[in-house]
Amino acid sequence: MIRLVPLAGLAPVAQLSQNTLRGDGFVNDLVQILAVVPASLLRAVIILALSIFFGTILALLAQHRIPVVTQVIHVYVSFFRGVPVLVQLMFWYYFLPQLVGAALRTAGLPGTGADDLSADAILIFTYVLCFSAYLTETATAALNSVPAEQRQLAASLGYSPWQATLRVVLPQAALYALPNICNMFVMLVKVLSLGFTIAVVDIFAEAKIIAGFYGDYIVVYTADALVFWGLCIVLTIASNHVIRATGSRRGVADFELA
Amino acid sequence: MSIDLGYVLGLVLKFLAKLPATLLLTVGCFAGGLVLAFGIFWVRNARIPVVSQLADVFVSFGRSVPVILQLFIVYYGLPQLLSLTVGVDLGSWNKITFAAVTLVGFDSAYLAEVLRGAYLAVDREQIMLAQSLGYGPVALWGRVVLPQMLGIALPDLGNALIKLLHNTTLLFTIGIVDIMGLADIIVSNNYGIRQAEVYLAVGLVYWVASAALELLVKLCRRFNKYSVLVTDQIRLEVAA
Repeated sequence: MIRLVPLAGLAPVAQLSQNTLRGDGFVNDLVQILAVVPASLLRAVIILALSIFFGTILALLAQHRIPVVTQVIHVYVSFFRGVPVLVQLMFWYYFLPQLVGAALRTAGLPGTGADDLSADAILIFTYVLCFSAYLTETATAALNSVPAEQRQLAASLGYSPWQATLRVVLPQAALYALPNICNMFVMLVKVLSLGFTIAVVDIFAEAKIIAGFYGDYIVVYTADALVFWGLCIVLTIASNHVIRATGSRRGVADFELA
Repeated sequence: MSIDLGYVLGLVLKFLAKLPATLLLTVGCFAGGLVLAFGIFWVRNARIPVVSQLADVFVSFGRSVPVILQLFIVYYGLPQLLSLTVGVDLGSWNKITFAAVTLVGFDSAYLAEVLRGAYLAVDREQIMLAQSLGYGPVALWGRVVLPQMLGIALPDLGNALIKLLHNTTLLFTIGIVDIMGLADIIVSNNYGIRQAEVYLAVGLVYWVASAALELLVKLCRRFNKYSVLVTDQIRLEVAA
């Protein structure tokens, strides 16, 4: 998947690894790091799917301008976008087990069940909470991009408000939001690197473990950067393809998708 | 399970004392990044052979690799590479220097794309018109292109500034005692209790700082005539 051309420029680094640090370290590192890519992508897919779901619901709720509810959603979006993800991750790492323990005790179950909460579960919880805030903004903009007449038209054709939302508004809003969502996915893959702080092993954490073992930082981190770089290029090409294909299936020209 | 709010409040005050240094680093690195970004933009725009391609690679790298990895490459990898290959010892460098190099480098790659987007959004006719009126390159850029570019780029520049502020939370990983670094110390001295409170306090401080920066950007946009011009234009397009 990764062409050899960019690797050629790294010959001195590979040389360095062979001469002074350890034999064929660079290639071994690459293979070892590539092995954790599927798990990282899976985490990103789960987080993105859940965030799209919650973000859309919150955006629809906010549209109705229900007093209190709309304000609560605004504060939620502002807070979870305004606080760095790493801080959120550390907070939930310490607080979520307490919260789950208390909930279990209230339900009459032994509170020690909270100790089984895995780091992965805390990571996914934190990121869904945070990225739902980002996606609420995306979904709001996407919903606003659908002209109001579409709803009236749907109503005149006998669609109920729910049917109009599901069959008329959301499909159009989804097309508008698609480039942004693709961007968000690439961002997620990168930002999952913060998982190392709570011992979730992603593409970065794996490199950190290898580097801690052998001490040849420059070799391992270069390999890791190449994995991220290649992944981002592949994901960007793939998302451009998806955006174009979806657009043309819906009869929208490329230039209109921007 | 309960949150000790009094304790959180006390910590907020403690962390606020560290905020000016964090903001200073953020703004300083942002300014440095912007200057470097202009250089990258100029090189790519002028299509200087080789240098322009190198700039493309730099931007692609900076935007694809997570900041934390960039920080580790600069802090752990670079000194190792330099000492093993050319025998230069960076041992005397301050941690803040490594942090600043990372943040400026990362930010410049990001901002170079923002500037490119803003340049493409400036009306081509304006440039031709200015040239036909006899504007030299200095007047063309100084009085026609740059002011409009900055106006158009303002929202993205604001986002980049806030993103940079958030990225300062990573610096504690190389042992810098900023807000997160202090939080880390407090947590390890807390004998396993009230850890969540510490990070709640950190979150509140960053939230307030982010909101303040956002407000600042909004004010800039209100008083920047080109920024207003752009929003008006969009409004007209929507109305049409």
